[in-house]
Amino acid sequence: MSDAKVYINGRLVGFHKDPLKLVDAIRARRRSGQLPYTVSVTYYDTTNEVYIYTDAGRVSRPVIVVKDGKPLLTEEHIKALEEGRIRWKDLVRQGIVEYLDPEEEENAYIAPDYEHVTKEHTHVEIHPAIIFGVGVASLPYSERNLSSRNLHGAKMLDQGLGLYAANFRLRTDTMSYILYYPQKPIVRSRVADYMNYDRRPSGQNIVVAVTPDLYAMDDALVMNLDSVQRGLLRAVFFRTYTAVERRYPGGQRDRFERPTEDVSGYLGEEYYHAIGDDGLPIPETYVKGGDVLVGRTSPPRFLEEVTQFGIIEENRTESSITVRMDEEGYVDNVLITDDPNGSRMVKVKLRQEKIPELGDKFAARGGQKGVVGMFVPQEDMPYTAQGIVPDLIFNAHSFLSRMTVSYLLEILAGKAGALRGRRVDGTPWHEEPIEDLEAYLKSKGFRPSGKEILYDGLTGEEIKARIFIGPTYYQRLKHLVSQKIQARARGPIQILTRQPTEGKAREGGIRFGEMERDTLIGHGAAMTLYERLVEESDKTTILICEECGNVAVDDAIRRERYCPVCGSRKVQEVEVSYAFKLLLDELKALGIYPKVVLRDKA
Amino acid sequence: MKYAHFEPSVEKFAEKRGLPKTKVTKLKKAVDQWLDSVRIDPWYPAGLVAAESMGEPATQATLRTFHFAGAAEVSVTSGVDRMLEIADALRKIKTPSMRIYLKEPYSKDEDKAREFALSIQETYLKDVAKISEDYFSREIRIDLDEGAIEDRGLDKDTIVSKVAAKVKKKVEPEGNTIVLTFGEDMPLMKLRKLRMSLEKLHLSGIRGIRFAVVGKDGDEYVVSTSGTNLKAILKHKAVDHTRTISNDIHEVAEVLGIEAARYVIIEELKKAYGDMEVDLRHFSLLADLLTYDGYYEAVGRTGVAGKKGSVFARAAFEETGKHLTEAAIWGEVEHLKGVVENLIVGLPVKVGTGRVKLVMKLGE
Repeated sequence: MSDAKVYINGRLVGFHKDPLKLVDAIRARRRSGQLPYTVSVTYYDTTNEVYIYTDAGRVSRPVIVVKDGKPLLTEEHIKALEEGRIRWKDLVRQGIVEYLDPEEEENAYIAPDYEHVTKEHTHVEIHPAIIFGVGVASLPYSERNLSSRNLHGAKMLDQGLGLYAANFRLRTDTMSYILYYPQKPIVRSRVADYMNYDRRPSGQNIVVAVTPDLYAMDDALVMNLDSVQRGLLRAVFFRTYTAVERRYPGGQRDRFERPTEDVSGYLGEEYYHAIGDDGLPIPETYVKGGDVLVGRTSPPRFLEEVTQFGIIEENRTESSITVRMDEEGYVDNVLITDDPNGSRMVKVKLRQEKIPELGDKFAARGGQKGVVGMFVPQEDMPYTAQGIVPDLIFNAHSFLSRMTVSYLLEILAGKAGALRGRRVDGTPWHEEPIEDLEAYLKSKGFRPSGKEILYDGLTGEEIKARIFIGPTYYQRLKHLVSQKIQARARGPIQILTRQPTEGKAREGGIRFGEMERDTLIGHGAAMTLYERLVEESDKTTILICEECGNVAVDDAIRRERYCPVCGSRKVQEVEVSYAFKLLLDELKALGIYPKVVLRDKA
Repeated sequence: MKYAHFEPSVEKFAEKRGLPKTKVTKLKKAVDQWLDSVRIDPWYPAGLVAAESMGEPATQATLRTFHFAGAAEVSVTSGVDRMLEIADALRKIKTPSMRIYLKEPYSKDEDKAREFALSIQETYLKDVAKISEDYFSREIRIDLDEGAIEDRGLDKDTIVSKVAAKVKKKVEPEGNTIVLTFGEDMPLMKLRKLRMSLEKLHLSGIRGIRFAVVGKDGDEYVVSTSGTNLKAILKHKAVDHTRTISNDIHEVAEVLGIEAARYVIIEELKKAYGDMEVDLRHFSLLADLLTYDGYYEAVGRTGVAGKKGSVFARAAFEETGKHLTEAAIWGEVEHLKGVVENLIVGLPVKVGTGRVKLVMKLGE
């Protein structure tokens, strides 16, 4: 075989006759501390290439080195660690533990734990849970789930509202959410400790009853209205609005002030209620969508006109910052500072309480998400013999195909943990034995299965089936209906096409697209389609000259209609879409003469 | 019966069941009624419904083609790939294939069918021999592969004579090796060219048929091929020319005519859709559209969509600028008959309720 190519940080630096020897030598030096522990070296026998990486930005993780089927980390080391005689650094320096990056993992054969170490293995995991990423490993019992469910769960973990930063009051994030009473999960994973999850939690332990319910169909959730009113999973939403006093060429600049009535574009007295004379809002005033948050006027677009008296009249235009149409709330904070250009800048933080409402999204860990389908008053919810009323009803059908065992175990473990007042360890491959939890439940007079007799809140009758009930950690996800709901009957239109605008921020319509169009044609519903695409959109009446087929004009002052091209007065009104009129105009602009031939309506 | 062409089958059914006369008339009436109920309404948007009915399942179909491991199968493109081939009227399809029905006794005798299949497989000299050239001694060496020759059902002597005819020279084989020696005056370029033409020396079979296998259809043996040559195969005496067909639609249109091509389009669409349930009438509408000009053309801008009568309809599809300028040059008139045209202008479309005018009977 030819010599192996050797790459350092992706660059070909040379060739080597015996790549395996080279790789071994580099590894030996790294383990003996002669090379930094961050260096990685990999040999690909398929392409006969050696990759050496020393650069930053690689994700690497520690594993225990195995030599001749024996892990180098022994009981003695652990004892010494516990007694404080050695430290982690020493283990790395001695080559007992080494860091692998994704590239070098390709050359490693890593045993999940000490029991499974064989002669072929090169490394052993410090803990089997490390084979998951941080996200999945921090979910309790995740080793018992389908991998896809864990992936969903880990993805939702960063959508959960919580305490994202302790200094949130001082920060000026464009958007941020804070959960009112974040709790530490009862059932925890020790991996979550390494990202300080207990100090920045993003959910609450709530009591869940697992039962089929009509209003919990297709991943809907039924919530206890009273729990919500007591503050369950309540959050607050902050949005920071920014306003800058811009400078313009010629020494002019914007001004923060309360616009007076003579300012062009003046909105109306009621929109300026939240601001003072300096144009800035007064903290803790309530503002609605459209209200002015920061009053600002800009210099006129064109140079001032000189009046007959020789005085330059400045006609400033209104350019205030208003609250978004779909938002409201209290002015939380007003910050005055300078922007990088040295202009005066104001940041206004708006605070809005977000109480769980119909359609908000919630998720347990392990990928079981859902939206609220109904709120039920506490008196109508089912209750246990002890009087425990669930905060949430979770549909039992959600288990059949997804097989999220972690959810079931979390309820059971959560129940035991809540009863004994101590948190339960659910770290993957390192759990408290389920049997112990069951035994504890039994000793406290509960069924070891976690099921209980529930009574129907409406009738007071005992529900025939035994219902699985217990506390589970639930997250409120950042997808709130109040920020997604969109509807329009009338509203702004685009200037060019006279069709409704697009997008929620512009009060837009929902596009009746090509495929929707096809459904109506398929049904032969021509008039419905006409209504959607013309009447409710860009219908216009244009005048057409009978003689030459051009668009005619209506002279309102002289009260006459005539064709500006041929001068004919034979003009007809025609109802078309404005887009068509535009097409005619554009064709004319291209030098094409589109002639509209009129015929009597048959 | 109102629908007369259904009468024979209804009567046949009645006869099979032994229905009495009164029941037969009743049955005919019921069939008439049912046929009335399933008839589409006037101004029904049949084209759009056909398009959606065929397009929607196609989005669900995988782009995967199934290949069968092993030798004795002819793989055929299926699924979305095949649908696109048909709709785009591709000249060169991925897996051209023929289904050859045989006359008796070939159709009943497996050995004879196999022999036939073997005989139509095209074989060139390079398939049964290794050909090498020697520029120093100006020789071409042909090493025959006895096993391959036997597999192809040939014999050495005919090969030798064909080689001899090709090089116009007496050829004497030594065992399995033929050595052709040329004189000093033979240019090297010519030697090379001769070697290359020898490789492509046609020994047996029908050109275009790369592979043929015998399968069974009911109680008769049928030959499937990879590669097609319909014109040549229909002339073969063992072939039942009434049923033998190719899946290359262009070829069928050329050899058998446009009606046959229309039939093949429908059959191939049925195969491409497999177990996705799509009504036959959607296929036949598409097949009509693809062939009604007398030749087979694609649906795209080069075919059906590009040949629409309406300027707006063409401009709405593809190459908007091109169609509008051309319409301006030729002074085309838009009659606003189709769906897209009316949508552009902002008028009700002329299908369904858009076409119906309400007439009120007064004084009743």
